[in-house]
Amino acid sequence: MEMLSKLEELVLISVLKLKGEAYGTSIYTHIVGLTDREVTVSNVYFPLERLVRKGFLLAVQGDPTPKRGGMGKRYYRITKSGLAALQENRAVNLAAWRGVATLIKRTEV
Amino acid sequence: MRPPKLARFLLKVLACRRERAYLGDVEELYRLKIENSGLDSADRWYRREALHSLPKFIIESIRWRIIMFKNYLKTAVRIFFRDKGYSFLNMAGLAIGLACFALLMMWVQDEFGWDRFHENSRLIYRLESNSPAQPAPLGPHLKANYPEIAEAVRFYLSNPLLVKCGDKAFDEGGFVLADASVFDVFTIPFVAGNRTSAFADPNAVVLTEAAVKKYFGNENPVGRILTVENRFQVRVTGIVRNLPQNSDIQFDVLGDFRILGYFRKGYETHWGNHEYITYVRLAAGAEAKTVIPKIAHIVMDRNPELPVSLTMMPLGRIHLYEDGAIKYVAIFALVAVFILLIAACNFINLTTARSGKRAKEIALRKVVGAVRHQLVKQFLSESVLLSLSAFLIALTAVALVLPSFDALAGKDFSPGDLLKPGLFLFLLGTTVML
Repeated sequence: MEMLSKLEELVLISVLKLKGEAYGTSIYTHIVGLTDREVTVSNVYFPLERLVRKGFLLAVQGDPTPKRGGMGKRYYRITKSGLAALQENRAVNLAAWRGVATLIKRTEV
Repeated sequence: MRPPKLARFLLKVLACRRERAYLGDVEELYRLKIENSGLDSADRWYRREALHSLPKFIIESIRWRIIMFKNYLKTAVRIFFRDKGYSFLNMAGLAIGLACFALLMMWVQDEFGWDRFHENSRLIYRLESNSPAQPAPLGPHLKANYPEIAEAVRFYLSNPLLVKCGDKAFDEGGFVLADASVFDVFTIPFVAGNRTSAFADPNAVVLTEAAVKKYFGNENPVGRILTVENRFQVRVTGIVRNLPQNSDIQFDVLGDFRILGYFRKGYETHWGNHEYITYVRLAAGAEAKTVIPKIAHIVMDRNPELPVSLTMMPLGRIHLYEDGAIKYVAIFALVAVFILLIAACNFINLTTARSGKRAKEIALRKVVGAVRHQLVKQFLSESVLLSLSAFLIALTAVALVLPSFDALAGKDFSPGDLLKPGLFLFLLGTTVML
């Protein structure tokens, strides 16, 4: 299976959640809302493009608008293999995190 | 309501056309930030974005460059093999042109390097009156009386002498006598023995490596005795490296000048016999043009019936100007440049003539999204590649014909000489530019 990086995972989930409205700005805003860490747009942009190359996302070019300095939006849609990858990664994550909460509570350093 | 100039510029440059969507996102977010939290914070955000994205975009652009270069390479190879005859002609033409140019330039460079290998070559002069041969006392007289003249050395080029070594005898044509100062004026590296003690004893000779082989084979010659003309004996005190072919000073056996006593009685004080080629090394800082007037009259004063004034010829000019080699050097350099020019024109012509055939490819590339500068880059890298291969072929060709070239030109090049001069980088650069 294809292991996703943390950012790729976050990006993929965001695209899934945003449905038809997933493009750079909205994905970025969504991820910034999730994390306290400072994220740059390129932090989102490059994983997005990598996922497109891997075939997990499909990119569609939108029309340019003046609000964006005359540059078009690039909409992303998740593909079948993207869904499968997400499914697998979720299973791995769940397995890995099982029992961690109680362990954290009990472990003293 | 414009984003910070520098940051915007950086992003624009780095995130080229491929990253338009990214630029749009950043622009849109910037406007949002202004509405939500004011201009200052938006500017700060924008700057931070640009700064943090920089390395990523640089890596990305390098990655793309490599990808595109691979494609250009592939296309170039395919085009080359699509029309083998034409490609061969084109490349061979350039390679032969380059090879000729390289050979000629090697020759020219060698001619210019004539006699310049001596460490002090700029300070060395040959004394001239109406001929380069001077009376024997002149050299010591100059050294003793003129502080500008640091060293003087006299040469006596003997007629062939019968030299016996054990039961072997040779008619030695390269028997030369010189003052011990010869090792101070000229750079003559020793293999065995050393320059201070070589001519301590008046009957001493040093041999070149080639002469050692001739007389002694593989035996150690130092301390051995040679018999000259059945009249006197000399002792071998050292071995010197073979002299470069582009040197005016040539000998097989170099003997102490005092050996001359066997042939010319009283030579040390005889001003009337102009027979000895004399070189001087000026003291550092002395200038020939101030020394010449001071010494001009010396020979005349002692030889009133021979009214010639003495001058000095710089060592580096002797071969090129005195012997007239500069004419040939100029001619060959010109020929070399023209050959290179013709080869380059031929290369350009053939390539241009064929460009029509590639219109389809260009059209397709444009349809797929290539821009002008990408096409230019592609064709440039293609011709660079072609000329680079031609260059390698030329190098090989030169290395192969070098032995016969040496024989023809009377030179002594080794293939290693090819890699030495930066000249060829320059030459490669010119081809590439064309």
